[in-house]
Amino acid sequence: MKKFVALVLVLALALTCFAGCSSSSSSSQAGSSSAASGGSDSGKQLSGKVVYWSMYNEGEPEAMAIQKAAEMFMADYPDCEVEIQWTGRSNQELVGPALEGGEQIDILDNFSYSTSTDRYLDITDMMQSPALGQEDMTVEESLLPVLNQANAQGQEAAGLATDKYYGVQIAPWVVGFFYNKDLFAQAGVTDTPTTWTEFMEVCEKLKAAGINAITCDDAYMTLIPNNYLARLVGSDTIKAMSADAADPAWQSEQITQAFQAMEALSPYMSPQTATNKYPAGQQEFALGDAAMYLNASWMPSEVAETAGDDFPWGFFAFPVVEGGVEGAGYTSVGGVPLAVYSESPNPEAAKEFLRYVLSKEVQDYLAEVGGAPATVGSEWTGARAECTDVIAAADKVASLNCDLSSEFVSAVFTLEMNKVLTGQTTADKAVETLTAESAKY
Amino acid sequence: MKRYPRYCLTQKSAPASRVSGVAGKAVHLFGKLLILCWCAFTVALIGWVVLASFTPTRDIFQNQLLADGLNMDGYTTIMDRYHIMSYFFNSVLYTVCACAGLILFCAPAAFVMTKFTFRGRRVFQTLFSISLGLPGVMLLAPLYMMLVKLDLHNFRGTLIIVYLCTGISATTVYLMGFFATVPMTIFESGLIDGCSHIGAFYRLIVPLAKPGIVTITIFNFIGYWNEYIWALVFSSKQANRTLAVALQTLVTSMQTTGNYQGLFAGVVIVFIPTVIIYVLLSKQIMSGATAGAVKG
Amino acid sequence: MKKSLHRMYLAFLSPVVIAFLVAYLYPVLRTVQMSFYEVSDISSSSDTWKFVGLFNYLDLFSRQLFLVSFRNMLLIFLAGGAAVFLISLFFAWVLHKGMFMGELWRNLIYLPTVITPVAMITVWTQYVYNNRFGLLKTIFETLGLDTLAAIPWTSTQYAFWAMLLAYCFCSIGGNLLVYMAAMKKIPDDLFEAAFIDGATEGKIFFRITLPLIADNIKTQFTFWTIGCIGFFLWSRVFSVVPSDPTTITPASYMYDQLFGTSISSNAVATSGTNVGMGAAIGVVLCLVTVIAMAVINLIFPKEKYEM
Repeated sequence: MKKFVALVLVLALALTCFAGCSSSSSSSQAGSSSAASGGSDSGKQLSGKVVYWSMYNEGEPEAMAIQKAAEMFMADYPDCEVEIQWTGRSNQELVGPALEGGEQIDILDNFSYSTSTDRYLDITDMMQSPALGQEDMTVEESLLPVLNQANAQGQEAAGLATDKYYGVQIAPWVVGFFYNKDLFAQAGVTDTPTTWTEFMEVCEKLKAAGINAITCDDAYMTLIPNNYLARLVGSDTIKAMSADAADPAWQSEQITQAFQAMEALSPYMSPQTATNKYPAGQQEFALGDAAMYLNASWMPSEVAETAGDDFPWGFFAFPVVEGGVEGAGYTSVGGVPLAVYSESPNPEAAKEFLRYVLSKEVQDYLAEVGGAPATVGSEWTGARAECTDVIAAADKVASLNCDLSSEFVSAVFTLEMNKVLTGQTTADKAVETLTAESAKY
Repeated sequence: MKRYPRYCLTQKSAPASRVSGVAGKAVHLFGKLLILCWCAFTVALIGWVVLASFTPTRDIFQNQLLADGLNMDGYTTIMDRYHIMSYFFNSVLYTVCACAGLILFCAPAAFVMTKFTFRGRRVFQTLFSISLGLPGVMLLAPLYMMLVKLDLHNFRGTLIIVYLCTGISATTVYLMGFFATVPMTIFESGLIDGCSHIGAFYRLIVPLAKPGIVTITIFNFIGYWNEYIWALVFSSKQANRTLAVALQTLVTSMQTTGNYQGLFAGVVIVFIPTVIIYVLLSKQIMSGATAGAVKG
Repeated sequence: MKKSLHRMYLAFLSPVVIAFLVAYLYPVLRTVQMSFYEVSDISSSSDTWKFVGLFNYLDLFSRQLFLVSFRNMLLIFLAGGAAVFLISLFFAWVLHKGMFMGELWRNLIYLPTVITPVAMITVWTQYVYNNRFGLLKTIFETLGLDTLAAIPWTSTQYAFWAMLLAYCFCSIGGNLLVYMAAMKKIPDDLFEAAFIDGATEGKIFFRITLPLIADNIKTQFTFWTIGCIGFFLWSRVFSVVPSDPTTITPASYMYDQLFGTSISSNAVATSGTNVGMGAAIGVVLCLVTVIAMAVINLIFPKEKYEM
């Protein structure tokens, strides 16, 4: 008995020791920032701790930029401390329970407004204040307009007021076809296609030159049919289809047309497509074995090691579908939302820190280390520079999956589309299956 | 243990290893060949991971492993950018504490549940076996909310508490199987000699149960070393993170930067400890491996 | 004496009983309760819950994707189970009968079990199943088996079987280890007697070896069943597409309902959470576990062979 009690005591003691350890935070102490950030209006007296749980991992460009913002902020406000937890992509699963448990988290990211509408603080006043490093405009004006539009759409979908800001988007991305300029030249393609007909002609030319026109892998394959269908039926219809598997649009002529278009595209897909498990398709493109890959503008960094510095990157917007509802400006654009927690004990400092994250200097630094800057004045670097025109031309914002997402879509539509695209079934059979299955959802 | 006369030990083949009949011999030969192929396949598989960690990403996807010799970039990147050693320390801490605690709690309980009859014993046994089958994902949320209410969610020992609580059923059920084979005569003679029940257990039964305890500890160690979901939720703060969770974040950040060499280097760093432990202790694992059988 | 016994009961049983109540009973009761409510977020407090009766259960069984996931789970259980048990028993027999450097082969077969599944899945999808330079393709081509070499393993058509094959490959080691250890414990005299009687190897295996390790097979079978009901990580890592009907399992579907997102960073689709339904899946899986345990106890022979 004695032994047992002793062991329990030892264990209990050990546990208390860890409790002691856990209070030591992993925050980085301020290293003074060299360049003058210029904009810290000394009128504000800020102090206290700002805690940010980030979806980024150490070593990623965005994490480096945020770290830099924290250092600049702490240099300008010596009484403030910024603690960043790099929680990785599982962030969303962790933040909710942690907040509920009374954990101090002042800044959240990568959320969906609709999850908990009351979680986000109105930061409109910060957005209307002068931008750091570009004092002639407000923070709002200093950001890419499509990012603000994407944010407004997110708020609208969750039933929040659209004339206010409950969050702000950073790290912009835009979806389009990456292409290999050398392979295009080799096949005699001089202009990038703007319509679906032109696109099919390009595919034919590539095929005639013995080049795999398009490749893909399981992670992103759904982008091709979704983009086509969304342009064809328009964003309102696609949202209705997303919401209800029984929506009459699922039985429409356009669905058949979309399946037939994918069937027509299937001969131009790389023969590897059916078996490519992410990232195999990207790698195929980066190795020069295929000419096009539909993806968001983050892709060059996902294949950076393979493609190397001299890769002939090119980028064009998803072509306009003739007879479709949406025009050339309809584009999947987005960013990573950042928000201040509505019950943050230190909201003013948190908002001010956000202003530092959105400053010209931090965003320029982000571009320099390989990320995508969110501010208007900042140049996109490297392969991403090719995407600048497309994001500038975007005027109607769609989500990454073109707002088409539901159980029915994952379980039936996407699966059947993948089969058609990879030649495992025909358009007619796929439409039949779709019709039959839609009754079950 | 049965003692054989000396001449038996010198006999070339023990009766167990003799194969009867021509058909039996043929099947045995076929089996041996199949095992060789299987092992070759395993070596290729694991060897590929190890070699890939020394090969630049571009060459990995062209299947030209080691085309440019040993390239250590993957390992240096990880060591430079990630605090892999502190995660390593965390993993050791959680795993060792959880394994030790489980034995401390479960061995006595399993002993009582196997060797003594008392009211409710059957209920205990059944409940424990059923609880083995509950999906961990299901326990996750209520448990988390409870620890949050107790204000324990933000404390380094929480993960150990969680491992202890959720691990009891597997360890107890395993040890119950083991204690079933341990003779009670020694225990009873201890009682006659004036030991208390508790004293007799620690002095007489625990030494006998050592093989079973070692085996389940090794299984627990390997399990907790690789455990992901609980560690993710219950040690979400970076300072408390385990190696398995760090591996997952490393995998995503290597994917977003396209550094698959680094990814495989991370994988190798994580699995080497488990492989070493297994190889060193495989004899003990074997001697206790059958104990898990629930008798009766 | 009696006091000492009672003190032992108290000291030895109370920690595990407390742990059991905390870690199992409370979460299960809470989950059962949750399954009758509409709960918006996993962390929302209980005063925001809305009672909906059996709606979550009715809704669940009308969902095609759940039925698909259940079918996948059954297939893993039956097809995977058959493969794992037959192969591991056969290998155990071969190694038990003796093989040159048997310990090495045993360790090699066990090795994949100790490596984190995330690593194993990456190797299988990126290397073994690769249809340009994959290990399987190379092997089949060398053997001249062109039809087998041409199988598109990771295409939607075969993805489920590809996942199952990889999972079984990694599960065999654990079973093999247990059976070998169990066979080692069978007294030599039994084999000797049968050998002298001129029994065929088949007879020896089915009449002596198999019955004497039946307890171990039962345990392993129980673990296999449990593994199938909680089959989660392989399904999620093998396919980065959320709710991929080819590889989805109930536990993975439950995770989607509870957390609404995918572990993968490349998720194109995200679903809203439906915590009440996630809880309902948990309850259904619990019932499946209880029934499976009962069935296992029924089908395995009760009679005890004394060694």
